[in-house]
Amino acid sequence: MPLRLPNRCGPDCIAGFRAAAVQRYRDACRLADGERRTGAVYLWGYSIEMLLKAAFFRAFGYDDHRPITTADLRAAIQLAPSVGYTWPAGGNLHHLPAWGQLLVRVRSHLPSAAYSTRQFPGRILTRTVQAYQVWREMLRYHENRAYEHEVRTVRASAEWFFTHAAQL
Amino acid sequence: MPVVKDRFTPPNVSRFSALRERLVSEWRQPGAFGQPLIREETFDRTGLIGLTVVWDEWEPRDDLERGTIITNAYSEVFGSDQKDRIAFAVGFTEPEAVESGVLPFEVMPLVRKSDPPEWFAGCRQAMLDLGASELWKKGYPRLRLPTLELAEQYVRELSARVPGSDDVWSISQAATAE
Repeated sequence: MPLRLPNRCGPDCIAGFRAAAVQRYRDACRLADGERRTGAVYLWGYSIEMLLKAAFFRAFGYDDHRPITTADLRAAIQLAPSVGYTWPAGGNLHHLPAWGQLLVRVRSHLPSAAYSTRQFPGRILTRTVQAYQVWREMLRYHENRAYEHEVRTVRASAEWFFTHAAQL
Repeated sequence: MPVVKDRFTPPNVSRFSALRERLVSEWRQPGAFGQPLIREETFDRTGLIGLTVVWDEWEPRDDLERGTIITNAYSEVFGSDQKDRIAFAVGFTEPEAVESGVLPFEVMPLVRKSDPPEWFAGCRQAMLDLGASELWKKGYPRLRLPTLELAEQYVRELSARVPGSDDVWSISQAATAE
């Protein structure tokens, strides 16, 4: 008997996050084409989250296939104060602006990891806020329909992160 | 294969020289309260600087314009050689800053029916004078701050501006960014 889907999923890792981010991005585009707006927003948000996490652990020296555990994610939150950021109370691991802040700050803190332009990290910070003004992981529990401008906002942010994934 | 050529020009920041001048003035003579709220951080291992400016005046400007204005103001005050030390320069309105998690503390008045009626308007005005934002909802100012120490400093000032209102002011820490 073939393994069931959850059992076929390997541990989270940078390569897995990036590959899944592409798939969820494409899934979201199909949903948006079919006017399934909230579903599209929901998946685009996750694709941004995965790209941010992949970039953070890459900056931190993880190789593409090193498992990223929940303990690693929690450790990242604990690291935040040492780079001048306090993770929002509650420790929400889906907080896009917090991942953006952590990524930018860690790269500013690590020698040889700094961004080559000062405008780029600013854009990471603002793009995560723009997406998070619309996206939350709890959207899946609600029947509300996203407005067109909300769909455009999150899609534009997701596209921006994909366009710049290599520089994150 | 087609060749697509793009040209990128820096944003025209001369239109926003008033904002730059205001930032320069704030850096040279920082006010104790109100906007813009400037956070300047140094990353010790690299010597790089992170600049975050919370200011509702940013609202109609895009992120590139905001970043350019902040960078130009900083280099005008501290010298153009310091520009290279800037790791990031980001401008947020107060609601955006709350969303980003950099303003976790909120100061708010809890005025009771038994309190002097003039306190309702007095507290509101005092909050506006100290830089509370009405971008969430016009007529309902909110005052968000980055640290508990600064929030306590604001409460002392608000109490002084609305005499007798010491017990009215409360500080809360957001459970999550909103």
